[in-house]
Amino acid sequence: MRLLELAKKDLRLEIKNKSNISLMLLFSLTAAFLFSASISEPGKIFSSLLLIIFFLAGMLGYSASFLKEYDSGTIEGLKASPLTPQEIIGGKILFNLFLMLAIQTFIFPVCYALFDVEGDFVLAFSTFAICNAALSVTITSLSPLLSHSRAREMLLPVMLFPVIFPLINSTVIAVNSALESFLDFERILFIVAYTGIISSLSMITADRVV
Amino acid sequence: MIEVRDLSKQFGRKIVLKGLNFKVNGKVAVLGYNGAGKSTLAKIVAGIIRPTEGEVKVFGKDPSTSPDARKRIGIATHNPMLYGELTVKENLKFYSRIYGGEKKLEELAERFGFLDYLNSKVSELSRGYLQRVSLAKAIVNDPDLLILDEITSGLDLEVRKKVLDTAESFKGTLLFTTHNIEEARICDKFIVLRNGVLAYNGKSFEKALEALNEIT
Repeated sequence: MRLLELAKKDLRLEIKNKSNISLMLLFSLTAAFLFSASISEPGKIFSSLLLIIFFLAGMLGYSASFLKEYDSGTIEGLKASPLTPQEIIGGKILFNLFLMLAIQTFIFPVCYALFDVEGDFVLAFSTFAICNAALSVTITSLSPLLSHSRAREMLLPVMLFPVIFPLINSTVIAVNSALESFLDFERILFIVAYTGIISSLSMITADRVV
Repeated sequence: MIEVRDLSKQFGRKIVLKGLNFKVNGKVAVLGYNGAGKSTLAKIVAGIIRPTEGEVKVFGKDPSTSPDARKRIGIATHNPMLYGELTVKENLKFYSRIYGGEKKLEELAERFGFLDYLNSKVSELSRGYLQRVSLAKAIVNDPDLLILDEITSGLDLEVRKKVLDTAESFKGTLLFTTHNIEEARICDKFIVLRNGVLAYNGKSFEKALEALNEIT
């Protein structure tokens, strides 16, 4: 699979320069410590705080994987290759998915401990992993839309917030339910379906935007 | 075989190519001064950018929408399209794999004289070696159409000779854009662009020169 090769290449680049993952981890840890020190009983709004951290940390990485290709001119090499625009987006989605899940593996337990959360850790972690993956897929698949605009790093969170708001809202409810040992299957189904719709739309328009 | 029909390209309000029509194969030099539209034409033929109007067919297919057509095209431009943080070997392996092949990279490296640099980071290479690797990348897929877009500008004699030898010995269709008139002699057909308009299309080097000189 050619998109796997693209994701592997991004992963190799990330392992070599570690710029994205270090920045994202540093930001997430700083935010987690700040929240735990400044908010009384942060455990009560655990899912919301976690989402703020992941949304903002993700923004550092989601767009970077695409923008670096544009800035270095390597996007021309990809476009001249037999890769389809859908495969290019697919490869970036796979890479960002891996990156965000790797960050969750480290940051989720830290936040869980720091915010003094009580509840079902395993179910909350698994539910948040689904939501985190949904956010990664949605944002990465839409980020090429802004690749040609100025101040695109700033525009991405602003422009995409209305699109991902239903995901954010559902994630908060689903993770809160998971902490109470209840799997909110309907919410998760909605998150998966919404992600499917948005990424399908992105794939349909990929020919024009990549 | 490259077929171009009523091709126009506009960036914003700027018209870069206007109403181009030609059908070529063999070794084709695209001549023209800066801003004539040579690189834009090369990128459209490679499928990197789409025309605003008209169509381009490479081996009967639109390269911007057909991965099969792009699989048969190799391109090297002044932008090497390589990843600076990866080694030369990793870059070539990546491109080789997305083209669906496993070419012997050592052979390529030896042919272009960068065997000693296979494990060096691309960002550490000099411009000459960068272009050697870029050329190797362009033929890593054994293309039927090789596009060389002003790849020789700013290179030393040795690397320039290597590029011209590769172009000359290439068996398929060659699209060679240059503003160095002497280099164009390796081709047997000539296209001259003047401000995005086709000024000459034919086999005569002298007539191509005349068409080029009319510009000044």
